[in-house]
Amino acid sequence: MIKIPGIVATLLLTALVVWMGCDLFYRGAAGLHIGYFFETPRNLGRSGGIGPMLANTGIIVGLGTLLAALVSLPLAVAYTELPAPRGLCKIVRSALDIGVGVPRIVWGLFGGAFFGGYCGFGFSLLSGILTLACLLAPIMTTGFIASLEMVENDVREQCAALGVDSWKTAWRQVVPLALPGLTAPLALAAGRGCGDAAALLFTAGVAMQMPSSLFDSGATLSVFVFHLLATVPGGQNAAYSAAAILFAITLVIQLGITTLTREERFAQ
Amino acid sequence: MITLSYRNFRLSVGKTQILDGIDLDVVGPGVIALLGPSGVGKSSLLRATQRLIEHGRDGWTCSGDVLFNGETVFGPAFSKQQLARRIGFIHQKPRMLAGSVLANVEFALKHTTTLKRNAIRRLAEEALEQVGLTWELATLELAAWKLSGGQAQRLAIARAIALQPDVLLMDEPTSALDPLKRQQVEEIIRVQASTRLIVIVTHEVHLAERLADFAAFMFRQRGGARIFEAGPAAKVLRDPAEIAVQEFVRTGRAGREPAPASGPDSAAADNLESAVPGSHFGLRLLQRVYLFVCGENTSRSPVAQAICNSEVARLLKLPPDGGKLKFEALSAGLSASAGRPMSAKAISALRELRCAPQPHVSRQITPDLVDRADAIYCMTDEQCRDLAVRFPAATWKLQRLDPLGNVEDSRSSEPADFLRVATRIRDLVRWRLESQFRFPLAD
Repeated sequence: MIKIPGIVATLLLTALVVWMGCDLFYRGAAGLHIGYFFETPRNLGRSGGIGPMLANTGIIVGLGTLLAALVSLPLAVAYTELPAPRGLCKIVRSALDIGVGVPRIVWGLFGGAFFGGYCGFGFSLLSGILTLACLLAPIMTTGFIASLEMVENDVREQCAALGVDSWKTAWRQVVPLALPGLTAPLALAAGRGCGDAAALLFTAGVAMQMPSSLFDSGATLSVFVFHLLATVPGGQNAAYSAAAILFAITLVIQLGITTLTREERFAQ
Repeated sequence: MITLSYRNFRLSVGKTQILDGIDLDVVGPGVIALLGPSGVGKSSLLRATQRLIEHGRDGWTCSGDVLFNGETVFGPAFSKQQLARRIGFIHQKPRMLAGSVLANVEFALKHTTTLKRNAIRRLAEEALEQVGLTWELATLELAAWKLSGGQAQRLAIARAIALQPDVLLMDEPTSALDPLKRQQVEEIIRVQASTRLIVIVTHEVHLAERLADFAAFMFRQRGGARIFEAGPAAKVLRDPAEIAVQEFVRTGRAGREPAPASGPDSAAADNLESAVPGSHFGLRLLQRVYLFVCGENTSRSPVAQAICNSEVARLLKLPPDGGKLKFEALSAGLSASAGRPMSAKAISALRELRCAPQPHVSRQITPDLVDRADAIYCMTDEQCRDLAVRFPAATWKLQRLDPLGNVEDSRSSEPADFLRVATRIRDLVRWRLESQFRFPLAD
């Protein structure tokens, strides 16, 4: 009985995604040409290309995700592998849950006020990277903790029986075993970073130029789409073209990481 | 001398009392079997000994003391690392660590000692050699997760003995293995017990009978498990004083008569004889093909073949040509020139042992023979290696006839010299058959 609704739901969801992709490309196709990926936007973004935005997206998402991963992995390993009082664990857990639940626009406001104002970075890629890292870290940590907890306890105990301490066991045995599971939160975070406009609007700014340093302001692709739709009259067609590319990038990231993960699992 | 003593050792988790005042002194080297029903707390006792269970963690509370060579294992004298180097622990189900077979053994050495890379490699290779994985695997760089169950168990043993502990705690080391693999692990335990104190947790009476020098029985009472009876294995297993222990040993033997208290050789043979006729345990043995391998296939292996055939026939009270049954003992040589008869010294030794020599012509080992065999016994380590190289697919059923040493041919052609070799082969074959007969009980 459950089979038929299941199949219908799957087909509907798949159709929805396919339809959305086709629609985006159909409407945005007019604006796409070979130079689109390299040129700077002209006429407030209504024509020209998206070169600077692609570069900004790459820098902000790449460094933001990396920074978040560098914080999240040790935190997740410490949380799952090291003995700690139960009270401390509870506090960390609720902090993470709140971090995941906070709306992105709030992170954006916080980032703008703290990194942009208090730290003096202003509207810059650096503010964007730091804000994005703050936003992604709780999401990533929660995902990492889930995949580390999936690793059988036997490994930890057999290493303990050999006299190896928990920190070394974690890095040498548990993390390698959890690797396929660890890539999923990474992909999720990178995808979110690509698509996030709210957190970057007030931090990285909306400048449509190629950045020369991390202290320059620069719009990512999603901010650019938001900007075209919200503030540029007649920018809708250009927004569709940029959104189609954004869709394609997200798809490639997700598919790429899923394939990698699958190969890893197969090797196990 | 190695001593391990428990002094009024209590263990509880939450409000449940697991162990209630364990008092036990064991002395090594040798094998100590800790017997008792499943779930009685045997494993917990072992785990607490190696501090895998610690007071105050995960709701566990311990009291009393565990002394290793007179020093408490809970005191500052032992860090966890130091303890692991003195007392090894082998889990029931071994879990392979990341990386190659060699990396598995080197892992603990690398992270708990300050030894140089060369020394670590040497210790790891020695440990793998001792458990017979060196010649069994084509390369030690093989990924550890590719090993079979028996190999994995032996790798786990190698991991522990590479740290050169004085005590090895083994939690049901053979329970998940098939009979052949089980025999291999038992051999390793036997060899290791000559220098180490080995504590085996098991609920199999027969395993204890085969291996243990000392046995202790644990049973649960209202306040938790206690040691009911402990003493030399020969005495406690044959003639237990406590009723609970008597019952446990009796059911463990599944109604078979206990082995008579005479010398080990005759005890083994007599016990076999009473066990086999008409029982389905005997039939399992009959569905086996044993292949004995030596160099020339003129002396040692044909003698082993003839003895094996006659032993089985005698045990089952069959006429000597019991070929209708699915049991066969075969022999072959690694460097045999085909068609040579059995040597004169071999014939005379067989006569001396009252075993009728069968017509025999030497033959070279073939892939066909190797395929047919369920178990292959070589006389020397070198032959094992040679065979493993030639037939890599057959390594899992390959063993040296004497786990403790090579069975070398006599130097001279004197019949008296060879008789000693033949007698040793007979004892080994008997012992092999004996351990084969007992395993089905545990299935």
